[in-house]
Amino acid sequence: MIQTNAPILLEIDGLHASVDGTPILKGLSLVVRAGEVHAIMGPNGSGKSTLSKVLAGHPDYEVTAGSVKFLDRDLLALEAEERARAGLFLAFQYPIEIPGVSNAAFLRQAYNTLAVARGEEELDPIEFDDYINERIKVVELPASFLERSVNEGFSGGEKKRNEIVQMAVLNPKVAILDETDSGLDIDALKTVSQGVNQLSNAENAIIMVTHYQRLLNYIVPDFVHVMADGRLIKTGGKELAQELESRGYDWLRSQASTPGAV
Amino acid sequence: MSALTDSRHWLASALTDSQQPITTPSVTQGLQERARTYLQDAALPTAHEEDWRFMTLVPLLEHTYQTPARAGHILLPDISRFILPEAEGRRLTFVDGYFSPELSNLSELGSIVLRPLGTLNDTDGPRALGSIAPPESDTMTALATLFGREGACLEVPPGVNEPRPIHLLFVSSGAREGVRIAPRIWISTGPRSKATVVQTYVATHETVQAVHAITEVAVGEESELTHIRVQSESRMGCHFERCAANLGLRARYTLRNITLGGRLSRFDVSIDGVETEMNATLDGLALLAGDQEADTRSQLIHRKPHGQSRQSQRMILDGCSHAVFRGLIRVHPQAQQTDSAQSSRGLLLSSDSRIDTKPELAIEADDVKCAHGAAIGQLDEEQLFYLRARGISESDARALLTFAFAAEVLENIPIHSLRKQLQAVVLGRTQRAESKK
Repeated sequence: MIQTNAPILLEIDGLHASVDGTPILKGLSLVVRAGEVHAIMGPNGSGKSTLSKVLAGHPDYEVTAGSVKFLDRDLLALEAEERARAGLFLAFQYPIEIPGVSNAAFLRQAYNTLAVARGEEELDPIEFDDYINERIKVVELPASFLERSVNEGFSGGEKKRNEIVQMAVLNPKVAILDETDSGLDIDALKTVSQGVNQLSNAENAIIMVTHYQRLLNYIVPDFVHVMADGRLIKTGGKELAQELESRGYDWLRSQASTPGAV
Repeated sequence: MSALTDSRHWLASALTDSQQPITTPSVTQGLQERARTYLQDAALPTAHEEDWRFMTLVPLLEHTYQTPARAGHILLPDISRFILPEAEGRRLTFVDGYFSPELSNLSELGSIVLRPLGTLNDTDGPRALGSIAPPESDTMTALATLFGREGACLEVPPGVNEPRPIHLLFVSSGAREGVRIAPRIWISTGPRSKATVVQTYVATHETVQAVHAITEVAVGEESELTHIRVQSESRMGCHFERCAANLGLRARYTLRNITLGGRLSRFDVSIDGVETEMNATLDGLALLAGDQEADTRSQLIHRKPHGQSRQSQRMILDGCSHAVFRGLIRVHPQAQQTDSAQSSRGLLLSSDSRIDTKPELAIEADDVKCAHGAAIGQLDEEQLFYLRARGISESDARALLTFAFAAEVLENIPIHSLRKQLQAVVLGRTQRAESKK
């Protein structure tokens, strides 16, 4: 929901970033306030996933110019784990398998790390068990998945649901969903979307990064941004997504004379 | 040349020590004579031999060793942390190579026969003793045979199914420097029996010592043996062990080998499927730091059809440690429809650590399935980032991933107290490795 006087959670200004010396982001700006749902759409290679990784603090990406403020802190000065503790969350496009680490132990360690950062009590395994069994209902993930190694042998849909479980456990201020719809069948898409909608509230914000309009039928955005060549070239409401679906991206690129539109 | 001179000198002095008038079990006297004969023309292995290409005996040769005249003074509380509650009543304990009745507890053996070798006479001992790992196998086996003073003899009678583990505990007291210990272990399971044996080598003090061990295993027809070996001796000591197992018809043998201790250690294991439908599992985990060197040499031999074997070796190295793994799978012409898989994975936590790994397949049958793979690497950067993106610090993430690498082997240890003990050791090591950085 849009509340013009809601506090700003994330403020990206003129962000440039490169990987292996190749510039990918070329002056991207975006303001996200509490309660808002943003969608960033764009063709392959426009830099969508780079934006997600840069914000989450992936070491392979180098920020060459610009600034990012997150809850009044300089996000770019923080390590990846400090960003997570401050309340930033990235749902991975390709969640990583970690054989030998149980999902439950991983979730508990992550939860307790964040709890300490927030000045809250840690949960012991029994307390956490009660908590997690409540949280996994958000995406209907069977409890048996908690005993398995993190993402190991999970189907594509199960991995994406596990990402949303982590979001539910960590309760972030800003969640970036990187291509969360990719690889999901329609039922899984509904389940995941319902989970995200349950977690969305007036205090937090969601940024969906997606290639297709399909996800936006289930998680309705307040803003749709079009990304091309490392910048946001157009911003509109949810109807812009439908226009993109029917007309593609090319018409925008040809008239991309409005750089950094926010 | 001086290395060769050292090696000759060391061997000559070792042979002299073995003539000291210390009691020898009568059951092994014949084997010792054979070993002495073999050693007259033998030399210690050098790096020129393919079997010893990656590891030298220098840490052994830097010291001289003597068989101690008596065991160091050890009381039950000194070893309480090594005792497995699950195996209470079935524990045979040795201190510095000597049988310790005080530290053993044999009150719940049932029909299982578990005795110190020293109590056996010629007619009493297993007839096949010394036939699975003959003294003439190689120099190190001959030395271990010759040095042998005591050991354990475990016989599981036919049809006996013992779900509770049996513990063979070898304690080094560290009371004196330069102690030589040479245990000989015999384990046999009768037809259709089932048992679990834990063989642990521990030290109550860190000191220079040398252990030369021989373990012979005979797994009877349709019997099932789980054998867990943990070597966590002094990080200043040397440990050489020859472990040889013969598998009978449809026998199942699982060996899980954990190497934590030793300045220099070598585990030379062969599993020989002499009858059809053998089923062998061989797991190894070496967790090394500092200047530790550990060499694992394995041979899985399929002689008859329809055998299955699974082997997984894991190595985690920190400091300037060095691990060697050489795994041979041999499939003889008759052993059709063998199904065998081997994997070895190494994790290097420091830039000065080193792993040499060499899988070897020798396949002489045409209808077989043999898979093998070897990988050595560092922690996966994408896994690290994933954990950090969830708020877990980089050092915690490294420790978690390192622990996970070992977890697969540890999870398969069927004894709760031992599994927890080992997990705590691994966790302690992985966290300590991190705190240095």
